[in-house]
Amino acid sequence: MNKVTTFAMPILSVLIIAACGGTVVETVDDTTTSITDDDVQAVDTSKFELGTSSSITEVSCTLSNGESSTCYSITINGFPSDRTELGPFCPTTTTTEAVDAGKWFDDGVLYDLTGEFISKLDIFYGDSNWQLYDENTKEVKITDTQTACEAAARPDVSAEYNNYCVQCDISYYSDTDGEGISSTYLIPVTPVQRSSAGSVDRSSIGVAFNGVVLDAAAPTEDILSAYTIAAFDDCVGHVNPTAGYHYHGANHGEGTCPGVDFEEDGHGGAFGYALDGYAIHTMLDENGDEESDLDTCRGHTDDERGYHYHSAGAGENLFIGCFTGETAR
Amino acid sequence: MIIGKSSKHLVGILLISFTFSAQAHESHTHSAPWQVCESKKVTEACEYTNGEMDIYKGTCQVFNSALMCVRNQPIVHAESSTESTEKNVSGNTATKVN
Repeated sequence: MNKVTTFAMPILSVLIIAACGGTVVETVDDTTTSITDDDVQAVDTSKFELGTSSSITEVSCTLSNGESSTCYSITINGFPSDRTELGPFCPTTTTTEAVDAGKWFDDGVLYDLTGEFISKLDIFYGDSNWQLYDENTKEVKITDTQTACEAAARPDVSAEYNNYCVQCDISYYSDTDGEGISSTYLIPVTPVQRSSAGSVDRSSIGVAFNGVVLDAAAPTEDILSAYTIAAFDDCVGHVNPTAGYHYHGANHGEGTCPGVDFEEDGHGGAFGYALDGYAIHTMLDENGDEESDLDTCRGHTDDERGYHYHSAGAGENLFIGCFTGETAR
Repeated sequence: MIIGKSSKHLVGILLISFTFSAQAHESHTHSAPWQVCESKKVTEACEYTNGEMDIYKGTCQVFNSALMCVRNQPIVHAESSTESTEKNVSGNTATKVN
């Protein structure tokens, strides 16, 4: 377990971690890219621009293969350092436009969570039970209190919050502006290739340079089966009681979400490190093209960057497919 | 544009006539990446089509104790897919490629 969440909420944590957390990396029967020593680049901590109450220190650690190593202990404050506020998430009425609302994803596509989208969920999902708005007032039903948020932002959604657009305010969990829930992650100083890929499963994927955790796939089946939408903002991030603000996809440069610079040679820019120490780059290069030689984990090697990953699309509910390198226990 | 599952039939007809547009949505199962891997093993090849008719190809990987299709090939967008189909049609081949 390499994630230490400093916010204590034991019962809820069990439920939420089942959906968005925990760290048990199992070996996958798979052969990933063969990586030579020349292809391995040490983690560059200068790329992190973390907010207040954050830190990076070097510590001894044990990797998933049992070997002792040195890791960076990265403590984040849970709030993106490149933004001053989160959201917007849920639209307030059925006429709310995209600029005032967040996002939702479905089968690889990232949609604007507009009022119109909310009003047509019954058509979208082919199920007449969807009704996230008041028929008379046209107001969207939103979990706008901490109690409502915590009853709905979990796999076993409380029945009274079926047919709600779920959003949680980071202020429920931090009294300080610009801070969220503090978490600490261990990342090997120098990546160590695994003999076979490691499953992500419920593990967090990595940490963005702006101090936000890249989380595992959102449990969309649980969310939708309760007729809820766990609204994202433009960065495909949202807040839950245990993880705080976290990402479920990479969507840079749209709406309220800051962009990521391309590399000098036009390659997709890096925006974070995976927990095995390999950098994660954007999906597209400056020409709007994807890499065509990615391995099953979504990584590849080039002379400039060594081995690194490319994130999946913003609507795919994932960043990478598996870990090519050892993670810390 | 939002089109429900009832549009499946319409899309099917359009596919048969090889004239569908990129605007046509098929269904929104919200679980295609998971469903396509239900009977597969880890790292086995998988492929699914989204509501925009784009094709996603990759391998099954473990997330939340279930297998999910993780794309590792560029998305085959509906437009390019249609172009390929039309080429095949002109060559008297009825099989849709990609």
